[in-house]
Amino acid sequence: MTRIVVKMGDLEVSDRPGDVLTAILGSCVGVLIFDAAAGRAGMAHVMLPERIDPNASMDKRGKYAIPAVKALYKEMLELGSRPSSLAAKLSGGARMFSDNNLQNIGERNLERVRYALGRLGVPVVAERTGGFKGRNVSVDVATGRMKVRDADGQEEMI
Amino acid sequence: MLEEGQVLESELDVLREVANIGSGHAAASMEKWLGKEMALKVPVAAMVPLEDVAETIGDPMETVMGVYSRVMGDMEGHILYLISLEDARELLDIILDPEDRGQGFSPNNLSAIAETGNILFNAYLGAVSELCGLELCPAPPTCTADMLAAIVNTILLEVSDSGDLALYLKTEFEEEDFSSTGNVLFVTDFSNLARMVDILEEE
Repeated sequence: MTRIVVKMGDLEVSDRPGDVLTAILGSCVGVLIFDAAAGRAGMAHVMLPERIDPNASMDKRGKYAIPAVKALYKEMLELGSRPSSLAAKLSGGARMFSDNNLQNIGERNLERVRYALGRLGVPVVAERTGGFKGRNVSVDVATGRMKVRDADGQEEMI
Repeated sequence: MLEEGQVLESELDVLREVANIGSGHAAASMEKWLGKEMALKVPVAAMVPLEDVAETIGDPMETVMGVYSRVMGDMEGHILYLISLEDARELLDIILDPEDRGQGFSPNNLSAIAETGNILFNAYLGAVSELCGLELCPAPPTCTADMLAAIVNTILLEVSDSGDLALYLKTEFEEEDFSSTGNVLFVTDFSNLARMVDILEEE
């Protein structure tokens, strides 16, 4: 079993049985697209709803919501998945501080991710999003099952 | 001149100067607040790439206390005080009178931790103000307990479009019986950081 850490702005796909994709999410959104029949799954660690600075580098494929979802979708198809066998799960997008000055990036990340998935016709079958707590997620690549744990140690399987 | 992706020794000198002056201010404020002497050391002053910040401070999955303030004035930014739960308990042992100890993280105790963060923010931003002639002040702080990486990453998002380094100071409060290590992070757009370093280097 290999634990693959999906860092901020990264995107990872695997179809090796036993692999686990993990990420720690605050306001970032973890987008999982999986194909349970093929035992293939990929996750993007989305940081921002959109690119504000036009000079900012685009070399992180998972950084911005819509390009991240598109890249993840494309890679799943390239590895042999059919569009109709794909489904998505979402996690993250929390509001970490109750400071009204902090932009609510989490909520805007979620909006954009949902829009992109909707456009591509990938259904969101489960999610643990929003709220005020960070989450540690790990995904079993073979099944697409996602374990979501918060800072208090509460654990859920979706 | 600060260039993206590199940090020069002279910039680190500048940063150490901010750390020294700021620590003096912070120790004085703590003494005024608590009515007792306290030593404050800064064993580490560094510029850290944003994506490495959580790993630099500790275990990304560890639950920590975070105090956050938005920085306003001549330069916009974000400042954080991050402290492990064990160090937070030590800090409370330092701050509180012996008869008030052992209350865990009650609302009063959380506001004492937030106030410590506030003192540090004012002290270090004050040092930057003094050295650069820029007015910087923190907004009232908010406090949370959560996974280290989740807190840090959320703040980094605010600047990740254009910034790529964070100013990082490791802080150690010490008194006779207790010592508490914490981390202060100042995050701002890269252009601001470069501007600050340029002004400081000219001095």
